[in-house]
Amino acid sequence: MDAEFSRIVTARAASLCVECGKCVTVCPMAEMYPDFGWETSPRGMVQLALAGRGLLSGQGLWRCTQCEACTRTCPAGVDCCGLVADLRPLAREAWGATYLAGGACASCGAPLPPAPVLAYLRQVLPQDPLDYLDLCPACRRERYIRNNS
Amino acid sequence: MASSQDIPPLPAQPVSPAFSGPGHCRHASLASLRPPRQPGWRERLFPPRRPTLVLDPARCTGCGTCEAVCSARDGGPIRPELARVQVLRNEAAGGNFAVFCQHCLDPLCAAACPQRAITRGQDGIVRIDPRLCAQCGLCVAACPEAAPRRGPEGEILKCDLCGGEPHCVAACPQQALSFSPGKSAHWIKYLRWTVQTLAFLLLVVVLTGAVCSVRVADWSLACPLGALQNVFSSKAILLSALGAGLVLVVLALLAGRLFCGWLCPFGFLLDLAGKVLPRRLGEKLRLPAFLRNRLAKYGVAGAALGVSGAVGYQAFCAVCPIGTLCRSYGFQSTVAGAEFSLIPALALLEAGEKRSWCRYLCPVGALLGLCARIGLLKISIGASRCKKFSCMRCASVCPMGIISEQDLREGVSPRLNMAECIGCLRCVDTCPHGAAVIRFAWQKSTPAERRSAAPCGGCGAGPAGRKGGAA
Repeated sequence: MDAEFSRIVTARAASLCVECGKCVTVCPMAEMYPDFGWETSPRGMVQLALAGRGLLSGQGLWRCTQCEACTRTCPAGVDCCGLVADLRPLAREAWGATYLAGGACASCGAPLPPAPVLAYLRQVLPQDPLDYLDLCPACRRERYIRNNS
Repeated sequence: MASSQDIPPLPAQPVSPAFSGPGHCRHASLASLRPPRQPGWRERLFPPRRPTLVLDPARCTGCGTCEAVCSARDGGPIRPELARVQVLRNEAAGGNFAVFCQHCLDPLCAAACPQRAITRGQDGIVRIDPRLCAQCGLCVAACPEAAPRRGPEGEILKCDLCGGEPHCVAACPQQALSFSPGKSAHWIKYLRWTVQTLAFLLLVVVLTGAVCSVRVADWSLACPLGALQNVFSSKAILLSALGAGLVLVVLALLAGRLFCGWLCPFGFLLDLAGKVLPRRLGEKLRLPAFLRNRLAKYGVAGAALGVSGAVGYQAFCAVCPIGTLCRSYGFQSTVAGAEFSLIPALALLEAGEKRSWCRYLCPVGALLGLCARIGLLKISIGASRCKKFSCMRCASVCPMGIISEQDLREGVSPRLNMAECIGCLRCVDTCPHGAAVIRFAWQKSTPAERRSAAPCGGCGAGPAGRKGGAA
């Protein structure tokens, strides 16, 4: 477990981080979550990963939308987004945090975005029946076509 | 639906003079962060046309030319996975479909975008600003039909109508995709208000009491409910009494409850009250829940007939708001309090649900509705032109509330119950895409349905789902 953890941290070049904070400026999580803070920001998560504690149990891993904006902007070459993606299975094993991991498509079983991301969507979307959020994009299109042809 | 207005505008931050010179800030994208301008009077009177892409699924062969052309639009290679329109082929059911952005009036993707990169321009096209987009994919997750899509490199692809001249439309070999410049039939409301005013003046002022009964030569013409009550109270079926009510019945058989929407003087009064009364009274002023049932009006009609049979005169006419209003003009009939008291009470209800009286209680409307059920005309909302959840203007404008928002949100174009439709044509007037149309009751509602009625042998089902079976 710890070996796997450090392998991922090394593979994603987390130690190159110079804490410049460019990843924080581009991260969409800042707009999505009102309690966006150091330990849920990309820079904070990289630092927590380097320290080796406190990351797997936090919400930050599951708030990420996997947009790779931080990876694209990082001047030091840290693959922050890949780090989060790789650490998610570890977090699920270690903490059984399935409630944060998000469910599967109600129709085909494809993975959905994690629970905090869906919660954000439910909060900002003005429409009343949001049951389509339980479907993956492909199944949504299928349903739309069934209704219209 | 809320809109991008819900996103709070950026607070005006004091900028020190040193940094506010021209050309200092090169972020042109700041303009797109401002909330959209409210429409002025000119746009409200003459709304701009809204161009849309329309797909006729009956014509689509699933050839994928639109995908090819779309992906190569900017001079790149032909890669269907880079196309902003997606063709979906269902060989089992024999149908094809293309999914593309509907350019919602209140885009859900714009509400969801944390970067506020998605905006709806003045030309009605919803665009993603590539400088702001972080490619987080929340727009894909927020769209009910998942029209934006993720490309192979993680980029977000969404139709921008090619700025107004879609390449896919030009390339489609079957003309299944067409570009509709939008429709503006916004003159119907002026016609309706004129007709309503003239009818009010004619029925109330000129021919006082003409709705209840008017003598034309040897015939006395009456309102159908009054004629029926007459029959019940006199307990004798006289052909002349029944025939007297026929004028409105024949009108209803031909054109539905046109009387309610265009001619009824009380309906006109209710429409006026709805214009005048402040909206905030709405929550308090509602009918009690047990009366808010569309079947209640048939109960009222039955009770009116039963009571007239028991007491021996036309019982409902004493309190009928339509009749009271008609007879209220002039000196000789300054109205008795009990009769007139219904009218202001019912007019006040207009602040909440529109036309509450006509929806739930009016027995005359109930009789006309029974005739309209087998009427000649219907209003249908065509499946291929209707933009469903992305628009929903018809549902918000319908005074009888018969256009189901739930259906529209689920991506189904709703069917209208002609017994409840008062034929005011507000939906036809408002629909920016020309989907709401007047048709004969036996007609398939759109050309798409007509074409696909016979040849859709593969799936066996009716071409337009629910509507195909009914019409």
